[in-house]
Amino acid sequence: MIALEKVRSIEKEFWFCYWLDDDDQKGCARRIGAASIFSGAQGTYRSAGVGWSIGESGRWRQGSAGTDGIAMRQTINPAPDKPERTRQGAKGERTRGRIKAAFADLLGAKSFTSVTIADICRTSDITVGGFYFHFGSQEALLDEVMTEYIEALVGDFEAALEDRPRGGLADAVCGAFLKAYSERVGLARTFQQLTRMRSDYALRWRLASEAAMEMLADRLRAERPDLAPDRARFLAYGLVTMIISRLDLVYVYRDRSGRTGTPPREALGRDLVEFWKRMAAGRDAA
Amino acid sequence: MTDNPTTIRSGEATEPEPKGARRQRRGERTRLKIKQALISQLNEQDYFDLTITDICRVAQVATGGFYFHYAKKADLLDEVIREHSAAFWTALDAALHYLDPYSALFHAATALVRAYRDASGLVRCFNQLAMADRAYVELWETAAANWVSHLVEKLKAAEEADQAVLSEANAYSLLSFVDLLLFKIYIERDPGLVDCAGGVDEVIENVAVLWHRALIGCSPPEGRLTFATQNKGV
Repeated sequence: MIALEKVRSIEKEFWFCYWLDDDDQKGCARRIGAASIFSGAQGTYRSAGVGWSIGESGRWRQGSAGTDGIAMRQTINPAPDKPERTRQGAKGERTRGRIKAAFADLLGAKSFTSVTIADICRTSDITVGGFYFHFGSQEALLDEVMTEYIEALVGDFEAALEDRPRGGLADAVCGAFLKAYSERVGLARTFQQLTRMRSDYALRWRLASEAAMEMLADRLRAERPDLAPDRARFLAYGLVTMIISRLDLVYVYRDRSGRTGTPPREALGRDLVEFWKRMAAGRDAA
Repeated sequence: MTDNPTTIRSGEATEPEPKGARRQRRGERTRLKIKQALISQLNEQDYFDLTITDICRVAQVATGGFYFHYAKKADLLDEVIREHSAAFWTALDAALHYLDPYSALFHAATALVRAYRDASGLVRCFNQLAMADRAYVELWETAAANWVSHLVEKLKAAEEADQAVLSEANAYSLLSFVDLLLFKIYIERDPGLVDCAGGVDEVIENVAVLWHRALIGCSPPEGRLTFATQNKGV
């Protein structure tokens, strides 16, 4: 089965193509190629000798693969088939925004499993019917809010990777993650829980951040030519994992452990950058 | 009143095996079979989808036999998790007996990799439960905080590390980092990460190197590294 996932990057849209093989170890998706397209969604794209096409009826379809039970969206065709929301103008967009903001607020205090639609309606001051006019279900709302969160986080992450003077990389990348966690705690916590509990969200993050990870690996290699390409990628994953694990401890598990209060954002940023620099320094630096 | 304590002791020593002992031993064997079946099935299947019938089929134990030992699936899992957790932290504690910091971190990384690779289903399940059940979070947090404080003590005694960075909070967060990275490799099996990680030995060394650099502020001594010298290091 071939699955395609759209990943928004800053200037262009990437389509990643995954070959999902039932015999593949534990249902892991393996990337076989990536293409960037500039306009239109249908057609055949070719990259690195692997060709694939987006079907004519490019509708959202659920697929599942392997023993791991990964469910993923297959074949996205953003433009023609999706009905325009003709009944909603600017006002509708404002209401949607209000619902999403209310939901994000509620997530700051409650877990996403315990927020109810009644809560959302009360906070955003709309009727239950109004809610269902805009969103098919709470899952759809969660989906949209998390998609926006991931896009914003990946957007900041990729922007941080753009060329900048040597040495600024650590500050920029740590800052991008710190911004997402400290400014949108509820969403960050929900994101952390979803990626740990549900393989579809783990996969979504993987796909969204993959291009940025490659870029980071390239940047790391530029600073340390002694790194093998594989190990540059390993180091990139290691550094991002270091940032996420630290921020999870501070912002997500905060109320659980009660061990430490939230340190000031600047101090936390300094700690992250310090760890980054230590980890990324090669053997020569010793 | 007039009993001679020595006779009592010798009497106890020659007493034949109590009647229930054999049955008890057999019971232990059955429990062990059930527990092993759970661990192996968790590698194939999600805990919440796993039925007691599945476990009994793999363990070759009658369903009634299961209920003789455990009231419910959660009780079995709880026992397995606590046993594994005890063994896991014992292995990590043992790593702290090594004198130099790199050996300690290397052996701790080895223990972590082993636990995650050999019982990946169990670790995944533990993480799922910890989302909902505070008792499991505490099981991890208490043991981790305890281990980290021993580690910091040891490093301070060795006086190699930069004292400013060596707070328990920092050391604790680095343990979480190692935990999350290995979780992504062996449990989530993130393909992008698995592809560039290399074999188990490479993972252990590279993780230990990153851990050492972050904690102590420098790379481990060159002579101690295997893969770094083959252009496979971080």
